[in-house]
Amino acid sequence: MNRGRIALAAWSAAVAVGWLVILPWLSSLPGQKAYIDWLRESRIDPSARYYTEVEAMEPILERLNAELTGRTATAASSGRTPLQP
Amino acid sequence: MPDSSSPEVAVIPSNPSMRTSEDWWAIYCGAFFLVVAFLAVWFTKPSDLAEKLGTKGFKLTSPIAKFLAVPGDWTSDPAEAFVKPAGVDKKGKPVPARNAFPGMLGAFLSIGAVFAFATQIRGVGAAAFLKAYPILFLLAVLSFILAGQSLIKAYNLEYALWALFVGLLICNTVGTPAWLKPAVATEFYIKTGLVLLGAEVLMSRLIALGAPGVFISWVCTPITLVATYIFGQRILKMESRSLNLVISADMSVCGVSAAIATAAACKAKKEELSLAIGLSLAFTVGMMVVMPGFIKAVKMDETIAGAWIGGTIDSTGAVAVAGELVGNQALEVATTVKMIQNILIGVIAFAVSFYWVTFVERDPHGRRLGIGEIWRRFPRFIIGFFLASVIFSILFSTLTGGPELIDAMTKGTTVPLRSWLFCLAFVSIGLETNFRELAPYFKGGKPLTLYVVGQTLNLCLTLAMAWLMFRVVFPQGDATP
Repeated sequence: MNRGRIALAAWSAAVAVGWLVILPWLSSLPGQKAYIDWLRESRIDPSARYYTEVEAMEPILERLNAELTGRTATAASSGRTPLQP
Repeated sequence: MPDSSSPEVAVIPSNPSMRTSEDWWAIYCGAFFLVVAFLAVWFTKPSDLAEKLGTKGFKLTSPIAKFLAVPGDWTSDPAEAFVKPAGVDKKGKPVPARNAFPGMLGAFLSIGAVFAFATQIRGVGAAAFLKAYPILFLLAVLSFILAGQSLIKAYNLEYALWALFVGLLICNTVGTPAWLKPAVATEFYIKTGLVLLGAEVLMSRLIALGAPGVFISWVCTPITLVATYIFGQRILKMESRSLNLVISADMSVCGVSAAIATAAACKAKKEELSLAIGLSLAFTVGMMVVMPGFIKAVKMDETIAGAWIGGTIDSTGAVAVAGELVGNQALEVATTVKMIQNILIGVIAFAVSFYWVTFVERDPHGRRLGIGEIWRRFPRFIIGFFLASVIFSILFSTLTGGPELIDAMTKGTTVPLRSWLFCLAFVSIGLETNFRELAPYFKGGKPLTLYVVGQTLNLCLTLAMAWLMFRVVFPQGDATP
């Protein structure tokens, strides 16, 4: 087995330990678990790259759509569009 | 993104053939996906759509959404990324079951078929592509699994980072096998993904937004971008203009998405894109945690705080987290400001391409370029990206139920498709990158200095503009915008 294959095997083992043992353990710590649960309840994906990927924006977008088309917004958060003077 | 390690800018005297050019094929592939995605929603929309619009509980979805998906999140069992039974959350709300396999298979087949056809017509050879593509796709699946772990996701360490890591790991240990290289088509995946992203850059949304938000995003962002770029060139004297521009754009606009678009527009090297994304993600994690704490400590008004967060934190998801940590009002303002910045990507990419072909790739003898020459050198996929934005913005605002039709189309098809394409691109970048090629970019710490100085300017300028807009120009009686 050459050095490259040994290095790949070692890195793969480190990743497996990190993702299958260490990260699940860290995620189960009360503070981190509460943070993860809060994100799920708030429907926020912190790794979203674009506004179309943020579920928490749906009521805001629904209201913007309604204002754009002159319809009545059905979103729970009806009211003025954010940032309107 | 050329492989050359030379910091000098090459003059590209290309006149891309519409039959074989990668740029044109990125437009063809992107257009094919967009047309199929739109028609799927259009032909299955309810016949009484006009009456149903605005009624409670009505939501339009794409019929092909279940055939396009990326692996989901998981905490201790990676299998949950693919299959997860239905359940309830802590508040008793039902959480639907997940089966990502049909969606992954659909993405694998659709991207594979379209790209195999494209590579065949372009003369590269579909057989070699099809032999390598399944392995590349599996590496992308692995990247999504690494990125999907709940804690990793919670701190904004997104799939681009893990896709790079997976590719780099293979390239720098056993080396990228020659048989895998026909599917390693970084630029083709990025350009096609950007054409798809164009359908989400909906200019029409700006009409519904107020002046303060547009001012904060569309005044501060270009000023920060240009000032940071000039600082990099004049003060830091950065050798690579493209690295200077990509870092300036990802820091001032919206992180990874802006970095991808700008890097493609200014033909940045793959190592430069990797470095810019790494910097952006590192600072985003810190700002996502520190800014809400600071805002609460100084008892800043939620509207101003939201505008400040939305205008300065790079990543859209991290903006939502920081906004929500401050409060509902801050979340609304922050995500809306960030959305306006997201939409700015289209204009920025177009402007960067124009600046690049006109001023950076100018004739070595100093001859002024004519319109014909600018057109000849202009990256064609940027036109596809811009056209997709214009066409879908028009459909969005003119069709009956346009917002619902376009939202259903993008969420159900173009979002997962471009996520796969960008993930395949970042795995490809990793597979083509030797660690030693990255080292020169860290020389003298210039990229880090550029980011810190640019972000400091961004923080000051955005805060000042938010205060000016919400306290002086458009003063409000209470905290509600």
